[in-house]
Amino acid sequence: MAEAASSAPLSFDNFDKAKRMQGELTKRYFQRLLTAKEQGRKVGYAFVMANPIELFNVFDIVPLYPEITSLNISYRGGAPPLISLSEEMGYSTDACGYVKMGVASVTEGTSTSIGVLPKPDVLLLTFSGCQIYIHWWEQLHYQTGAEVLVVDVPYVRERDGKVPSHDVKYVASQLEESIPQLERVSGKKFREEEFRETMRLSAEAWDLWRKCIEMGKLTPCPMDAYFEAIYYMAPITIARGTQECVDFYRFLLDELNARAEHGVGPTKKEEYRLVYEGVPNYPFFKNFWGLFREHNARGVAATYPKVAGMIDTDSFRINPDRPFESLAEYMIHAYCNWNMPMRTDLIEKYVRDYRADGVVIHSIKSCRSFSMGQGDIREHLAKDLDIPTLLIESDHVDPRYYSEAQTRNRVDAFFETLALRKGGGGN
Amino acid sequence: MTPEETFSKYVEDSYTTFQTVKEWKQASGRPAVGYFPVYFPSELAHAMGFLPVGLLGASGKIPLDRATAHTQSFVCSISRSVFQLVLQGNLDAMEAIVFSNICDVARNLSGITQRNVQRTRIEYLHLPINNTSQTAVPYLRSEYERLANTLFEVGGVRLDTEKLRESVELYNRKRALEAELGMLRGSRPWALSYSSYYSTLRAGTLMPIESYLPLLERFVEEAKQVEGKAMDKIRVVVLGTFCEQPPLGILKAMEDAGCYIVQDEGLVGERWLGRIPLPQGKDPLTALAEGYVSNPNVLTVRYHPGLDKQQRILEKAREQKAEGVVFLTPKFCEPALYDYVIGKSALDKEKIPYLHIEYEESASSFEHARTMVETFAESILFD
Ligand code: SF4
Ligand code: SF4
Repeated sequence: MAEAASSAPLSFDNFDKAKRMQGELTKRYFQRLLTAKEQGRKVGYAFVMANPIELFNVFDIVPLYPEITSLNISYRGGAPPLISLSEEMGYSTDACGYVKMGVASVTEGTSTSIGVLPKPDVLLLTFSGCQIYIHWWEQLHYQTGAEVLVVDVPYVRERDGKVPSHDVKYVASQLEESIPQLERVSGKKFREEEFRETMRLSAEAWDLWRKCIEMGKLTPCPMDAYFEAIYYMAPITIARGTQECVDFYRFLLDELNARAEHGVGPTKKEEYRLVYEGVPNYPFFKNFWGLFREHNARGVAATYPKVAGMIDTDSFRINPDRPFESLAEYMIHAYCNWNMPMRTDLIEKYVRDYRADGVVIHSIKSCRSFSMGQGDIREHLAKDLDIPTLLIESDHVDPRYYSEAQTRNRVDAFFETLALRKGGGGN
Repeated sequence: MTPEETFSKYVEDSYTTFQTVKEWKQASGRPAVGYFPVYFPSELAHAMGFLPVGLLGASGKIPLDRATAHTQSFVCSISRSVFQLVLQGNLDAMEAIVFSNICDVARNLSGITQRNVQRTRIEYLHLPINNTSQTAVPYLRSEYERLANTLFEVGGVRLDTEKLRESVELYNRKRALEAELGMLRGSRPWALSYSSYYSTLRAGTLMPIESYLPLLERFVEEAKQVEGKAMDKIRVVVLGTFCEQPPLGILKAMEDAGCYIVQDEGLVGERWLGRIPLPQGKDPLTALAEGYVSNPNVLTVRYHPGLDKQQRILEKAREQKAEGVVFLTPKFCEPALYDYVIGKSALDKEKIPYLHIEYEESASSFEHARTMVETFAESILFD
């Protein structure tokens, strides 16, 4: 496919409307959340990884994802006061920044850069992918007195990704067991028809989202499957199971097709194709992205957008006719709930299938779920497979751990290596 | 050799060489299974002919250079030292190594270990977190069956219900004796130093239970006979040492600085199940699963929606007539760091004094800790 002809440049803005649509959708979500209590709605806290939000939909419980509120607060520069408040409360500098921001946000009298967050009526503990979730919710329980609803999700422990049948049964039964508790918390009856409908909408959105991210296989890649995908992945988490979510992904898919057709993308041209592993740096998001963008590098595939569900791997499919089992399968297959050899294999597969030039691992201090063992991933990619791999360390919310100059040096050196490999002399 | 000398020999050997394991294997022709803390159903492995071996880190005896390339700088030492032992081949004597869902670090460690070993079988056990669910016990029973299947594939012996019953009884005896020793620390802490108490327990994670039990019995009997009298020290409960092993020097420094450690979480996973009731006709595998799921004792790495951790900490302090609590937590261990905040806020409300100290298994200078504890003890004694 040809790059945009320089004689008649098509403005990228014309092909960048989905982000605005996402912004509006997120704004509506926050409005609904921040006014939930006034409108007599219950608020349920949930995690990004593997939440069965379709159940909340049926009970009209508004989800609050402290990971999403925290990243939004960080993006707006609001992390430091919350982190200091939590450290005054006794939290260690070595604890996860999300947890620290999360507990500080619900402390009496705290206002954040996105407003005063409503307190939880129920804490839905589905700790797929991160065991720190357990401790986080435990803290919130002691802090706010809200009840915890646990759905224990076992880890994918076989190297070939096989999940024992007792795991699926266990998760599905717990989901069914949670219904009376949700009925009590919400004061509403479970309506099976509504559940099936939200599941149907959820499945539709997943299918569309999958098509979108798989467009990373095109050359040139019409999007940045890491930095842009971080905007695009929001609706599948905050609005899954609604028509609004389906509409968003249909729009996105059309937009990406249009980009591909006109040969436009998020950088002037595509010089490098990269695979990304790890959580981004939210306080310096645009700056961090810029370090790669200025080299005309596009992310073609990334693991982070799959934390909400391993949609591109055939590991699950939401099915309204097997609602509890299919939800259970989806919950089991969150990216960080996959064992390290599977994660490593997946990155290797991305490099192959998306014809990438190299891998960037952004290792964040807060998150051992992601980071512990990323050195081993690098060792394997770089040493066993000879794939250029850059590992950089900072944090996703705590600005104290990011040094632009240092990161820039590492990134620039990485591109020099890539350029040499491509037979060029740098750019 | 006195029991104490035997225990020390095993403990020393477990820092790096595992020579005792190799010798046992040679003599018996049977396999060994290493397990990472916090909890492992040793009786299951024992019933299938395995020697269960606790992997508790290298206590600073080896450089962590190779492990460091594969792990991050901000993870606990035990995960890195166990990984270094794996890379160096020190754990080759184990036919299998089992991890469980205690934290993300141990979880990811299981995977990178799997990628870096040739023959050793790596298994990961999911111990249920949702103890209120009807399905938790049957689930754990299925997990234990899966583990038994792995051990069968590795060791060639099938799980036999009668043998398991016998093993559970042996381990019940072990836990009962260890509990006696623990109680002794509560009632007459001057009669037993922390370090000999600790190496007794730790040897129990290494020795074949058949040779350990008679020595343990002797040791407990002898400890009960020790006279001695109380000194002017404060009674403290120590929390946080449930996984990475604190250097013994730090606990000794605490004792020297004026504390009696009347209760602690050292090797808690070995002891916390207590007695597993096994009435006639009861399926021992179900009993083992129930033992874990329904255990009313708090464990940092097991969430139990029905348990009030704050209440438990206060009860523990009261039961032990503790004058203070020391949170002794491994550097970078998030589970311990979060429980510290939970515990601290409960103690604040009740005005029970506490102190927080961080350690790494490899630490060798304890002056700072000693000074902190001295000040802490004095503030209580002279309050
Ligand atoms: S440890 Fe990682 S996955 Fe868990 S809450 Fe923190 S950032 Fe999220
Ligand atoms: S010391 Fe803490 S962080 Fe390290 S493996 Fe043990 S529980 Fe996990």
